[in-house]
Amino acid sequence: MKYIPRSDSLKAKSILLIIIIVTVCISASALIASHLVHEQMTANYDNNKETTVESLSISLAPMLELYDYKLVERTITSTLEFDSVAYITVRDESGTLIRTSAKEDIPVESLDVVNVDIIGNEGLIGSLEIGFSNARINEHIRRTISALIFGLMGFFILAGVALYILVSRHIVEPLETFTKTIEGYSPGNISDRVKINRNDDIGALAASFNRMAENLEQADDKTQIALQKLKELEFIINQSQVIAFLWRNAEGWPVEFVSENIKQFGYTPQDFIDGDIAYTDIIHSDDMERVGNEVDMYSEQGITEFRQEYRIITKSGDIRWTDDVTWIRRDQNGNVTHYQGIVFDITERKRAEENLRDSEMKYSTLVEKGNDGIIIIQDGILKYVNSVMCEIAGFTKEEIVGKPFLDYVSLEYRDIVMERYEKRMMGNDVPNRYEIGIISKNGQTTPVEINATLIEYDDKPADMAIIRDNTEQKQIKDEMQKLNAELELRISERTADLQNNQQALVNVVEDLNVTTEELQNANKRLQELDRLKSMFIARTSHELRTPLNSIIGFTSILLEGWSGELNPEQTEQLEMVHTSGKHLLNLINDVIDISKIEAGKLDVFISEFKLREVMDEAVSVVRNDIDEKGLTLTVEVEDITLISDRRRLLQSILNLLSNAVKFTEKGNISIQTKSINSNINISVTDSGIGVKQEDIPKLFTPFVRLESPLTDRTSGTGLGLYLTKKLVMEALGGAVDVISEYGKGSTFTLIIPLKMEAQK
Amino acid sequence: MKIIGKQKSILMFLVIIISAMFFVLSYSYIAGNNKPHEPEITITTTPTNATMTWYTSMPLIHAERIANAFSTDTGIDVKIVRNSTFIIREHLMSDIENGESKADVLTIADVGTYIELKSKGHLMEYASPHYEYYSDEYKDQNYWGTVAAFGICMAYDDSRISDPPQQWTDLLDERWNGRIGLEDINTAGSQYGQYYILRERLGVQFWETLLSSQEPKIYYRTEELANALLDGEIDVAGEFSIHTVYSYRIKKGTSIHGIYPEEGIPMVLNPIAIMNGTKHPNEAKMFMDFLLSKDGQELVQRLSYKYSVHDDVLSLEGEPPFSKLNALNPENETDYRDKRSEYILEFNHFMGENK
Repeated sequence: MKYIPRSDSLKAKSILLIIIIVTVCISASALIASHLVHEQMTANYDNNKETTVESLSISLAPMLELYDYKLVERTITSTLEFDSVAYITVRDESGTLIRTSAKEDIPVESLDVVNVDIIGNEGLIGSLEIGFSNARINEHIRRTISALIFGLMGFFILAGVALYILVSRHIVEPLETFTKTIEGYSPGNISDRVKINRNDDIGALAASFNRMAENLEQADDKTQIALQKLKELEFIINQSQVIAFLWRNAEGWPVEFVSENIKQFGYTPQDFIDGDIAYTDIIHSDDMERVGNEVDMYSEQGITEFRQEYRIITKSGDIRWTDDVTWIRRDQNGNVTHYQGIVFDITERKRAEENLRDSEMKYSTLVEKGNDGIIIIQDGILKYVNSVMCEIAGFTKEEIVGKPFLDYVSLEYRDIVMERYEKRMMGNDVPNRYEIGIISKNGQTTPVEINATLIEYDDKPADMAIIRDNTEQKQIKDEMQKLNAELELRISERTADLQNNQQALVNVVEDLNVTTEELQNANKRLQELDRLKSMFIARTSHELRTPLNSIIGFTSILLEGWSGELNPEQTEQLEMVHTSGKHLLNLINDVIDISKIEAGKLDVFISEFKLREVMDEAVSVVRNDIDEKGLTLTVEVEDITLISDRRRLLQSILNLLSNAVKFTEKGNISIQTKSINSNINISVTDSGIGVKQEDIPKLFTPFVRLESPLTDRTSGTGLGLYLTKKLVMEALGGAVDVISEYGKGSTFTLIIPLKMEAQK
Repeated sequence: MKIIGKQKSILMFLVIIISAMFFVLSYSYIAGNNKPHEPEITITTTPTNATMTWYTSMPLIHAERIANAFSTDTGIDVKIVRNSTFIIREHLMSDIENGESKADVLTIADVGTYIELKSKGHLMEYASPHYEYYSDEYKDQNYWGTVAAFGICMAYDDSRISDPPQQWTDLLDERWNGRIGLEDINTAGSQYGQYYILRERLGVQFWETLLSSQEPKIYYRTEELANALLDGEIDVAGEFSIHTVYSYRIKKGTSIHGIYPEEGIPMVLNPIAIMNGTKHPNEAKMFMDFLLSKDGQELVQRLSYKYSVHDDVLSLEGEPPFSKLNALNPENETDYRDKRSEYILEFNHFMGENK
């Protein structure tokens, strides 16, 4: 910036001041000096007069005594050199003129005449008359005063100049240098320095200023860095959900600063800063009193930080829960001046908390009140048992927790349990589900199915097992086996009888009839048993499906983070639970479907739909799995409309796709459709492991899982293809075909009528 | 900024010039004060209505003062013609021979001249009324009186000489060889007076020995002789006047000490006479009377420190009383007059190469 001297600058003021000082000094000194000089000179002249007269009279005495008139003449003539002496006359004692020496140009009238006697050794020897010129004296005084005044003027003017130079050089110019340097500063540019190298106070000030400028420059750099960081921080804040506030401690908590992301509540920062909206206005009326009281309390207690949760009203009128972390700023007297805070929208969290509370309650209930026992084993010790397990074992939690698990395992199973436990702990892949016996309190052995999984419990590996009381199932199974055995025995007996007694054909026929009737009855009973079995399975499965849905549902909620963030271990464990639940559910569903089919109670719902929609839905279910395994999927689906049971068709296609994904490690899965006559062939081809020719007939056998390198690594109930075939044949009126080559892949084809006849 | 700086420099320069001008003004006023006002000065002397001419061998300073006293008293202006005794004598004689004698009154330290002038009728007959206060040996009734008399003594510097000569004949001691000072007899009447009188009393051998063997130094003025004593150029002033001793010792406070030999103090008279043919006889008479009066004598004595032979005038304190001196006067004043040339030549002869 160009430096322009101002009229009111220090230099101008100093010049003016110096002029005033010089003028005052000249005036004062002139007045004083004039007065003093006048007085002094007048006194001097008076003194001189007296002295002159006296000394002259004394000096003339010997001259007169000796009649040295030449000396008298010289003396009085030399005395006339005094400007004030106009004339001197010396006479002898008789008054005879001895000598007179007079200046010609002095008028006599203005003279001050002094007469004295000249006294010699012998007495009066003469007289002396001196005429003093007052005009000359006054002229002399005047000239002296004038000389003094002019001298003073010259001196003070020079002194003023010198003072100005001194002040200018030592004060004004350095200050101007300071000013120029400072005015040359601009934001971000304070590189100039005051160029003053002196050893006085100004030099010290310049050095201090330069040091300060250097520090400021460095601080400015740091400030720039800090500002940049602040901008970045502001950006981060504004990009985040966290709203930063600065409230002043006043009525309504006036907002002095609010981050841009207040917009998430529909407000703008200006709404608050301009005072259009007070912060207290947006706090829910039900929470305002509590919030206000808490703020007052924390402020009075001298606390520096506090946290509050309250509701605020958005601009659109919605109510949002917020978590407010506030820091109290106080002045040096401890009085609260401001509140700094960050506000989080915790509405979803609140909601999730509520849901979690419900789900936790349900989960707790599920764990505690479920149909299966749940135990956690760590280092071979039972760390947790639920109520069901306690019921199964017949012990209380206090009796069983902390005890070795093997103590409750029947002897014949201890080795396998231990072996599998240890392998599982080491991370080896072992079968998770198997049957063991639990020794209950009364000493009896309860058959159970154990489904163990490796988890982390209290930061250590542990084994979580679901213990299912298989007592009834075993009883039913035993009874079914027993019935079957009886039936087979009876059949064999009856057959033996028939073979052995041809003669007694009639009897045999009668017997046969009786047997047939008995067989029919047995058959009926078998059918009834089968039906009962199916009903049992269906009901039991149904009873199982309900809690499973809860498990699957809540684990999904947890996995999706609705109840809060999970750590990786929690996620893994929940996924395991979720997967197990889904698997179990699938099994149950399959069992239910099969039972329904076998019971002739499968509902078929015929509708008109696009095959492509069904295909897309099926693909969407397995898409993630396909992508995770790095497989490619090609879909070539005709754009046709089917009249069939959409749900069952989807289920069948989904089953084939699931198997294809399950048993294909690499390569491609393709879906193709082809209309042939009145049917549509839907083929799912994979480049998977394939099926041996001799195993192809077993594919559609229930509960059969073909042995393959992938069997142990894949989950499955063994009912999928069986159910698919059942569904396609029974529900959709179609057929299933398979072509496979072991090691190269398989093609499963559903042959579905385009238009399904009405329910038979 | 440059322009401003240049203007500033010009302004500063102007201010300094103005300041300098004030200093110059101040100085001019001071110088004006100090500058001696030199107006024309008019000196008015004692108004006189007559005048006279006085030929004298008295020191001019004395003569002027005497003239001042006389003029103040009488209103008669005294014109002084002063030189040493014999020069005045020659001057007077020359004027007389030329018929242009301007002298009205004559006072020189050579009584012989007065005798000669009287014999030639060049002195006016006048008997001052104050003659009665003078002894006969100090006047020629009706022609001349004695204005002053002074004795010739020796002198030495007592700060250097502790054993001075006591008699005239002590000057012939070898230790004073080259260390004696005398005045020039050709011009100093006092020197002739001493030469004549001591020649009468001590014989010519005294002077022959003194002048030819002792190698005295000759000085042309009494002040020179006195200074030579004080400077150590000489140890003894062989011819010194008592009034000069008084002047140097009493008045000036020097270490010159007089020696007043018992052999006698040659006296040199300083007569006064009125020249015959004076154009101002009344003024001359008044002047003569003045000088011979008691007041005049006291004035002369006060001025010259010479002895007054006026009966009522006492010797100056500090000088040997005149009455106590073994005063030696020429026995024959005519011879004193007549032998002057001869003795001067003799003196010079004896001095020879020493002069």
